[in-house]
Amino acid sequence: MTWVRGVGCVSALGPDWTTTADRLAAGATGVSRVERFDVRGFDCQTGAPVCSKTVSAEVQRRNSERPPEDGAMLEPRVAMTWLAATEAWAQAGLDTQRVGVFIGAESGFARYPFAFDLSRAAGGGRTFDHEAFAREGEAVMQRAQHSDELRPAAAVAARFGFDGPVGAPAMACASGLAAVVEGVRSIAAGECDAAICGGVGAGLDPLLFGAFDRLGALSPSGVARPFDRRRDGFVLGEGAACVVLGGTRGPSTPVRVAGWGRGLDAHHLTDPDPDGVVAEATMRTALGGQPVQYVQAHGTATAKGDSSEARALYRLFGDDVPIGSVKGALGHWIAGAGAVGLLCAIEAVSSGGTARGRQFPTVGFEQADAGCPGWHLRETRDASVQAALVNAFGFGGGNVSVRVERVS
Amino acid sequence: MTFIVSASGVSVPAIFCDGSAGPARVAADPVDHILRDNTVALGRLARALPIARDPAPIDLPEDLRVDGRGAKAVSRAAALSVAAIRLMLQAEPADPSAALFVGVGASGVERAELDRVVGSSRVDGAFSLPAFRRRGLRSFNPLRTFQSLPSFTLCHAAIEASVHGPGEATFSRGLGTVMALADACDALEDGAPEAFIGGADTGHHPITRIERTREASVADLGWLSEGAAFLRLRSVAERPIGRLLEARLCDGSEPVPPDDLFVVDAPRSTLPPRVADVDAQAVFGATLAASPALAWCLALARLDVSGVATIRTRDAASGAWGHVRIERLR
Repeated sequence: MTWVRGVGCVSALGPDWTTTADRLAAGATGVSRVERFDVRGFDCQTGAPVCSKTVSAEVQRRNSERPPEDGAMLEPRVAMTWLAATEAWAQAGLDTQRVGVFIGAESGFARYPFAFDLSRAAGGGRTFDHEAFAREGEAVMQRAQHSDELRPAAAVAARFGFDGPVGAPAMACASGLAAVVEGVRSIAAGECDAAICGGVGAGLDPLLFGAFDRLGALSPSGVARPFDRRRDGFVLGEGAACVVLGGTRGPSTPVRVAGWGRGLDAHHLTDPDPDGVVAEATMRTALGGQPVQYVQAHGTATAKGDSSEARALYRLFGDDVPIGSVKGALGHWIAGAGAVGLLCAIEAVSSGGTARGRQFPTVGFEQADAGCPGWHLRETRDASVQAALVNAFGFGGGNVSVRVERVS
Repeated sequence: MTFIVSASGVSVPAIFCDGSAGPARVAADPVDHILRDNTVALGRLARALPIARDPAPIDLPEDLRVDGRGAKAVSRAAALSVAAIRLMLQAEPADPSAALFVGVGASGVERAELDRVVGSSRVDGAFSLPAFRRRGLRSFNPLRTFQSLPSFTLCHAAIEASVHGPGEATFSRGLGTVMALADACDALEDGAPEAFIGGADTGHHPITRIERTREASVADLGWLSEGAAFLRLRSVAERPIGRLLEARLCDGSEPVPPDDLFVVDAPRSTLPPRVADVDAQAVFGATLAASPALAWCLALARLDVSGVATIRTRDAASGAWGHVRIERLR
């Protein structure tokens, strides 16, 4: 049995989960016009950024006795992941170094200054000068603090001095939730006593923003409206969310990971299976025949994505189960999306400790019609939720679902 | 019990498979085939290593290539992944509920493509956002975006195999692929009818070359190569070629079991104290996420019937070790 021992988060709404959750419950949104770079000319002009100064200040504050010595914290993904991980670890009350770290983190490292510097190192023209690149490229990579998908997990493990396994699932928008499954699996296999799992997104950068804008995935209206008839795409958000999982029950959060499922659409490179057949099977595996009273949906607010998910949800639950999505309030964190979804699901089933048993309003949702005849998103914020399901569906067809439940 | 039904792989330029009635071009004796072709490959790569040119297109047989629109979206690693899984499925199609786990590298857009974007976005030598919007993005084929997603090395293979069971792409510089193998075994225990597990990666992307140079001493670097390989696993199998005995992380100083064959998949200067029977990276080069899977295939090829091999993989980034033991059954 795998228990949730602690949760942590940094988002556009706050530097910790308590602040973020309180503001989500109040219906706040972290989405605003992008000021980090000039967005004139893009179809979408909004995002949900995390302020880098806030992150730096928080890193300094929490590191006051032991300042970071290696510069790793200069990398936004590492800094945000570390903040979320330290918050979660502080709640966990665990005394072990046999801790695995699994973080989904493949979005957000290819920032435009880095790409530009690399291009300049290769001659800066339209042909790639390999000899120049071999001479200059390494220095660029040192300056840019460029790092691979594994860096946030490895940096957190090194900072804490953990000696468990370190991993980085690469499942696009499902990476963060896939990391949670890896943590559950690793604890069950005896590879570690506990695991810090989650995801991070730091994609509010011209390169990723421009690529998604060009693909037509971002919302021209600037508002992500999950499962709403007016939905026209997502807005990019930033943040990190982590949970600490352990093999024993903790003092503060009587919640356990009760089931999980993974499935591959194998349908199309960019489009989900329109009927959500594999998504439904993935959810069914995670449910294991047990009920839930709430679903934290992936809910990207794209036409095809929401329609596919809604069809799968309708076949499973009809109109009986309240649904929520956090992307209208926090934006889409890409690799980190499933992790913050899990925190919302944990919040929904929790009571006591730092979590208060509540579901957050789905910002942006007003007019139901998710492209699934007969299905309507129904929000309920006062239901007694014993168990919840959380979904994360990745670009390319990787699906992950997790069921969490409160244990009295 | 986890049985190995078949193994297939693609390295540059060798193509091999085992455990199935493969096509004629696959050598009857994969050991000789691998060694012969990689001896050739080593010579070619040694001349190419001074990083003075773009990597040549992967020279795959026509029936293993990704063609058409998909070719624009496919990275080198994903192309190799598709080739290896297609080779495996020629003998027997996959069960639609099969699991698929793949160790993947840091997939990257072709440098020429990114250069076109950046080059078109410059004004007076500096990056200009308005120019990026007006010209840079337009010079970029959006399909190329999918080359940059590591998960697509998995997704292309999943589409190729039409498998819908549990799956995951795990970022790997070696060890992640061993962790993926453990994951695949769990999927079988949880009821998947079969599982495909492997790795696919290229060391020929210029950024990967630079990263490896930064991570490793020159002695460790070896020759960067590329490839992909898969094992097909089942809990129940009629004529398996092997049996998986163990897959786990291990301490580098842990004693090696006295098995018939000891295969090491590690940079040369980090080889463990016991002399290996086979140095997999001397055969295939450093193929990063693909290297453990290629080493497993190599071990199977080298083992006599009822022989047991230990394969130790050292992660190129963290230095941690993975430990796999395989028994050859036929």
